Amino acid sequence: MLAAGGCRASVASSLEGEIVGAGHRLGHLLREPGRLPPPSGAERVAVAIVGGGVAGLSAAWQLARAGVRDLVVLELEDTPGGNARSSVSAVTGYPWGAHYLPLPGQAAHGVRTLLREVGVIEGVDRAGRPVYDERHLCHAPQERLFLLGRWHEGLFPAPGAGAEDRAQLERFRQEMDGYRRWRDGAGRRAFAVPRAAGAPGAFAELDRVSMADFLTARGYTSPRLRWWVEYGCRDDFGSDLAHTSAWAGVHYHAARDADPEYGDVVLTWPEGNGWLTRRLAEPVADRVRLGQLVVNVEPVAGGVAVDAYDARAERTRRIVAREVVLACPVFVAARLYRPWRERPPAFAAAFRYAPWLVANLHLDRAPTGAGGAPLAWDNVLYDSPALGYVVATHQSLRSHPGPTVLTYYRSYPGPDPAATRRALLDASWATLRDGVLRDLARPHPELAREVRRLDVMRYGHAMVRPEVGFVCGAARAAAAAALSGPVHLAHGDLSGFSLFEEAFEWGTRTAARICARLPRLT
Amino acid sequence: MSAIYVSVVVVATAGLVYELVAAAAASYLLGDSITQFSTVIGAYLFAMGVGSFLSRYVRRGVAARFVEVEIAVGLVGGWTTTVLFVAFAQTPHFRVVLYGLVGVVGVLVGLEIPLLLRLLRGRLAFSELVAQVLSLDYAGALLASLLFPLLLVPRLGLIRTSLLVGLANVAVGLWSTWIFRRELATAGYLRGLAVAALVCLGGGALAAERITTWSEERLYADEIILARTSAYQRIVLTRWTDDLRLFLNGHLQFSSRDEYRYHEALVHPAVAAHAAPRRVLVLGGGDGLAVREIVKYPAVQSVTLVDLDPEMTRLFSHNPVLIAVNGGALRDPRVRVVNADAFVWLGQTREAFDVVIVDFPDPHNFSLGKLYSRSFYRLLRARLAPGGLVSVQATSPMFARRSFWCIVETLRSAGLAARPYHVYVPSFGEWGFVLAGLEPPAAPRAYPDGLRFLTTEATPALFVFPPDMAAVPVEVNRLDNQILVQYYGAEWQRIFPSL
Ligand SMILES: Cc1cc2nc3c(=O)[nH]c(=O)nc-3n(C[C@H](O)[C@H](O)[C@H](O)COP(=O)(O)OP(=O)(O)OC[C@H]3O[C@@H](n4cnc5c(N)ncnc54)[C@H](O)[C@@H]3O)c2cc1C
Repeated sequence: MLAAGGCRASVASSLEGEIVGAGHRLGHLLREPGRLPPPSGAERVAVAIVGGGVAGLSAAWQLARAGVRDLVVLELEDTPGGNARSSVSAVTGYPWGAHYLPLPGQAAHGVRTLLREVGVIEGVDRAGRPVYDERHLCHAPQERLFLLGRWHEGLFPAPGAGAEDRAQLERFRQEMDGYRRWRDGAGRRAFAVPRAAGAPGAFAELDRVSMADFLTARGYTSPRLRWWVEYGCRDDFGSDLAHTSAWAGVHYHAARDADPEYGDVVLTWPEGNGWLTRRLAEPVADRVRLGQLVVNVEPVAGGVAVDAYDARAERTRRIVAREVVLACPVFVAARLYRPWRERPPAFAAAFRYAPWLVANLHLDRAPTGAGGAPLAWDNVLYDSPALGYVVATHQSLRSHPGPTVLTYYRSYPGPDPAATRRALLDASWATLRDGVLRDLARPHPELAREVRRLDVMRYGHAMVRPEVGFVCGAARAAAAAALSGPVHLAHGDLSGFSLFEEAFEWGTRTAARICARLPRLT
Repeated sequence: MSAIYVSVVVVATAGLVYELVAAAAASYLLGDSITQFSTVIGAYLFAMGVGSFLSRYVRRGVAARFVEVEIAVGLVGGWTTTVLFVAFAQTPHFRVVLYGLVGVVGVLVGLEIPLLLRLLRGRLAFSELVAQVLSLDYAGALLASLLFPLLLVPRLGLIRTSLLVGLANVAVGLWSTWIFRRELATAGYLRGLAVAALVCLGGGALAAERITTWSEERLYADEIILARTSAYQRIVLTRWTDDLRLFLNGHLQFSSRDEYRYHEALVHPAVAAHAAPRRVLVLGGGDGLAVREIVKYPAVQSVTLVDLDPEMTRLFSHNPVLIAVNGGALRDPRVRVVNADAFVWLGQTREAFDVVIVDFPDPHNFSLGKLYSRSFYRLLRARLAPGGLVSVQATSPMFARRSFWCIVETLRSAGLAARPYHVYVPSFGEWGFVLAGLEPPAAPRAYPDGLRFLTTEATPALFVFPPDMAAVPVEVNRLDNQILVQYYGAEWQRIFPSL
């Protein structure tokens, strides 16, 4: 009678699920284009956009607004959106990637225009600041942290923190405030969103050290502070402190101001940023072609040829466009664009990518378990290799909680993304499922028995890594300047880190450039 | 010897079951099962250690002490769950009772094995004795941990389980008076004691059903005449002489003695202030009491009642006791019942209404808090026909002053002209409402005949707030801040710290 044990969670044998996303399977065909059927046909369009992610759809949205309707978007997946795509089930829409957008600052006027057009911004107040439709603002409570067996409000691991932890946090905040307030002679910030709105070259020296070294050099030794800063890097960049450039690390904290009315709240939707990509795609819905793997882009007489392999029809079709936007990751563009295929550009090797795993769990009701702060939108785990989960039904207006979907996120930081990528892409559904359930069993011991369905998405190349020397380095600048028409490169990668606003900026800016080059079409 | 071994298994099984029963009852009543299980198990194991230590002070009459311990464990352990359920309803010091009982049972259980080992010392070689007794002790623990979730709780429930295990302990005590008869001088007395304990526990086990309802009744003070668990809530109706009370999830919704004050105040200032209240919408209020007041107006052509829970509206349309309360209002031909989530329904309907009565439960949690948000009131405003008026139940301006004024301010921030008022409802205390409209609401013209509380002469006084309920500065309740839930939690927590 000395024993007092707990029981081990077991997975319901009926648990269903699968690995979703065709990306990397089809993408591998790019490596052996010789095995694909030769292109046929020669459809003509004014603009062909390769990739239907945020950058590609923003370009199309902007072109459509400018009156250019003769365009196609070629997307290899069966749903548009790229890393901001989503699904919908009988329960709710839910994200597969990007899930929120911070309130855009003044510099992000393009994003503000978009939000105004789709009704997220309802108008401006007397001070000229945007007024939001609060249904799109993340409902309270926004976030909580699982630490020491309980949930706590907020993300900073405050419980158990000592005076030294708090002092360092305060000092760190003040230092970041300094970077936030910095302006150059023209009134530009050092760290801006979109990045292009910032003062060129400001604090470029920070790009020569890692965020880990930056913190150490300034005496930020508190494990809690470092966890919190690293959490930000893992979440936004998919990299750890040692592999994040201090410039990017500071950008995370210094590029945005808390809104005087709304504070640090974010915009979010059940399907995450999939809601935004759907709005972007609406004006060009009939121009988006899905399941199209673009395998070759090359200048030909009378324009640029774009060859797309349609896996379902098992055919390769050629489109000849006057202008082409490569709205796909830089490592893909380097394989598609024939001149680059033949003479690989020097910048290509500098673009290194973090793998990610996203799992969506269907449940009959919100998870129970450890006490403390109530279920929030973003639920972060302190002692976990993953980031935690967001709740798709959080934005629902229902007053009685019912079935829900949890979206579990894990980035794979660390020194060797290639090795992790291989392991991740080789893993079976059952292995990935067990990993997810094991991690979530700590806050929610019952969860494994309550999950109805668990689907996973593996991203081999989810995010470009803002490594030391890359963010302000020559390779990135060279890639951004490499093409100026009739072929254009437009992808979030070019900013050096992955954010909706950056991808949107590259897409809309490229669209404006095309409009200037094609005056007769507009 | 084998009789003794059987006793060891029974004693061990019972010991673990007490611990599980206490932890399960605490989780059931307090929630947060991880905390309850770990603190109860920890306290219990520690108390067992204390018991084992105390066994050294038993010098003489070990056999008699062992029998007494068995009877005491059986009685205290057996009644633990019952006491816990009753204590939860009766005292604010539930945790003191919980850990007190866990401690007592733990100490007694901790005495058992050391005493038994000493009793058996002469009968076996020491090494064999320890091996036998301890291995059976652990086997008993395994048996308990399997029986408890698989058989005992599902078949018998918590109260019967602990009474039954108590019976087993006393039975071991009784049996021991024979096994150790040579060591016992007072066997007769002990047997009498054991039989009395058996009767006490057995009677309890037979009456367990009654005890469960009785303990819930204590929670509700009066006799329960109806209890249902719908998909959305626990509906409990109690009666004490002529007072009928409805509780949803344990929160009082109305008392038939004075609900007329609440419902007259909720409905009439808005309906009577409208020149032509033809289309009326009621959100929440599935009890039909607000509808009962509305159908008193011949001008009303349609009443749409939107309530989430079909079980509620069904009960209040068909149950004779409840129909007597709402006058069969839900069966009035002008009334249409829609079972839907109010926020979602409001966002989808295209209809316009002259008067809207909003009667939701208080903003206890984030889900309910949404129904008091600026977004919600803006949707509501969009559904008002020209000249439309709204009446909102707005918790107590006395006990939850900031909450009340937060609701007023939030209505105003949604572009409605709001006029707060309050009435005294004895079973609730001072209660608040807000009359609001696209235009500043007029004073009510004439009330229908037969009201028991409101008169046109007394109405203006309701809109006057004495200093202890007067407006305080508050923020607007938005979906992204849910400030009202925070105000409400803090204010009621001050008044009822046990909530
Ligand atoms: C898990 C995850 C979570 C994230 N969370 C957030 C967040 O919360 N907030 C935020 O702002 N950002 C977030 N991001 C980053 C954000 O998703 C990206 O910055 C943004 O979506 C990038 O858009 P993009 O168009 O530049 O690139 P992509 O999304 O990479 O779009 C490229 C598109 O091209 C297609 N494509 C590629 N090759 C070919 C080919 N050969 N032929 C045809 N099509 C092709 C791809 O399928 C894809 O649709 C997240 C990213 C990930 C991976």
